[in-house]
Amino acid sequence: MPELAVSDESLLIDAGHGDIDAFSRIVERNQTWAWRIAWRFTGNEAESSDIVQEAFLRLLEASGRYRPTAGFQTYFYQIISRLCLDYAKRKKPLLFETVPDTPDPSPGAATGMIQQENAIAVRSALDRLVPNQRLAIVLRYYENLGYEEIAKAMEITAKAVERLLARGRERLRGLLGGRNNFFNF
Amino acid sequence: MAVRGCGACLAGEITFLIFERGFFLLGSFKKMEPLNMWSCAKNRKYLNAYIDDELPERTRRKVEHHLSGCPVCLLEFDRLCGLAPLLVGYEAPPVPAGLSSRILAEAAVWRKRKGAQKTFGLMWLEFLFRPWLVRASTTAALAVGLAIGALMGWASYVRPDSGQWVDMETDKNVVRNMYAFDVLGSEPLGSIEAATMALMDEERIK
Repeated sequence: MPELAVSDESLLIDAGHGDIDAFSRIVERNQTWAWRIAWRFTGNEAESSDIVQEAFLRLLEASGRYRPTAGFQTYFYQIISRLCLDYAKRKKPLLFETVPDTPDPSPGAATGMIQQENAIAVRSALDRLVPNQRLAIVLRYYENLGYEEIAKAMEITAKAVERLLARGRERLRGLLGGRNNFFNF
Repeated sequence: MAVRGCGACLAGEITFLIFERGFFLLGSFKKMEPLNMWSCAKNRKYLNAYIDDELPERTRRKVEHHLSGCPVCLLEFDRLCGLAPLLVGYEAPPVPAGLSSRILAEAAVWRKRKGAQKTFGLMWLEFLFRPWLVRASTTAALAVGLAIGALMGWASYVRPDSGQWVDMETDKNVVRNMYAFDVLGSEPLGSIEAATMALMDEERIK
């Protein structure tokens, strides 16, 4: 008989009562998307790992007080968002990878180089956004969250999310410039 | 009760129906705003929410209606939509190996520390609230309090300037000073009892 899927909320409540297995299942289920958000926000593997680790520890600390009035994901999004914004306040300048000058003659290398160049441009553009705008863009484009969900994660209003996204897009358009519809041939 | 068969009433009913339908049509016409009333500036306000599919149905139709007839706004819309393929193409690397192990290891350390704090704190509380300790400390506090009170009382009783221990010298100067009142001052120099004793002694001497 297949095991019934236990919700993250129940697992968190169990973790609050000292169930280590419940906590490890929470980590297993949620570390990927937590890592994705942190990495897209920071662009740095070490910092992203620290953010994710700290986020899970805070989750564990709060598990004893957790009540399922808010969904688990919303709750965890809030924790990660706060940590990302705290990181941005104490951020050090990042070093970017450079595109190698020597062209690679292997087939598909041109496409790979274009993608790499694009990735660097997007990373650079994201880093130049104000942290709030960057976080809103990451949650909207990469996590497909709606205005209400982003608002709950960032603890602001839906109207404020709309404004952040509008300004973020405007800024990204200016930074990414003629790369619009680059892949449409 | 409907009145049928009466020409005037029939005419009245028909007139009523015409007006009713007329008002309904007027209301419908009001909802269909002409294109030039939905300006580009107004449209741009809603464009981001339209891209994110966050608009109510009515506003969404108005934006679409405007876009279908305004090449400038349509170009703006295309530019904003063009961001999505660029951004989404930015892939995140896989989760680093060992991240979950590190998280669980940190969690175990945190649990141990919290458990130790909890136990330690509870141990102290249990020790402090043992019944015999409570009784003993209460008794000791009472005894100490009584002792301090007695000491303070005795100390005030044996103070040299209390006037209780009267100098019984027959020296008149001593006697005079002991019951001499400073009439201009706030307090007498000696106590009433000392003055009375001194008077009695003086009379005896006489």
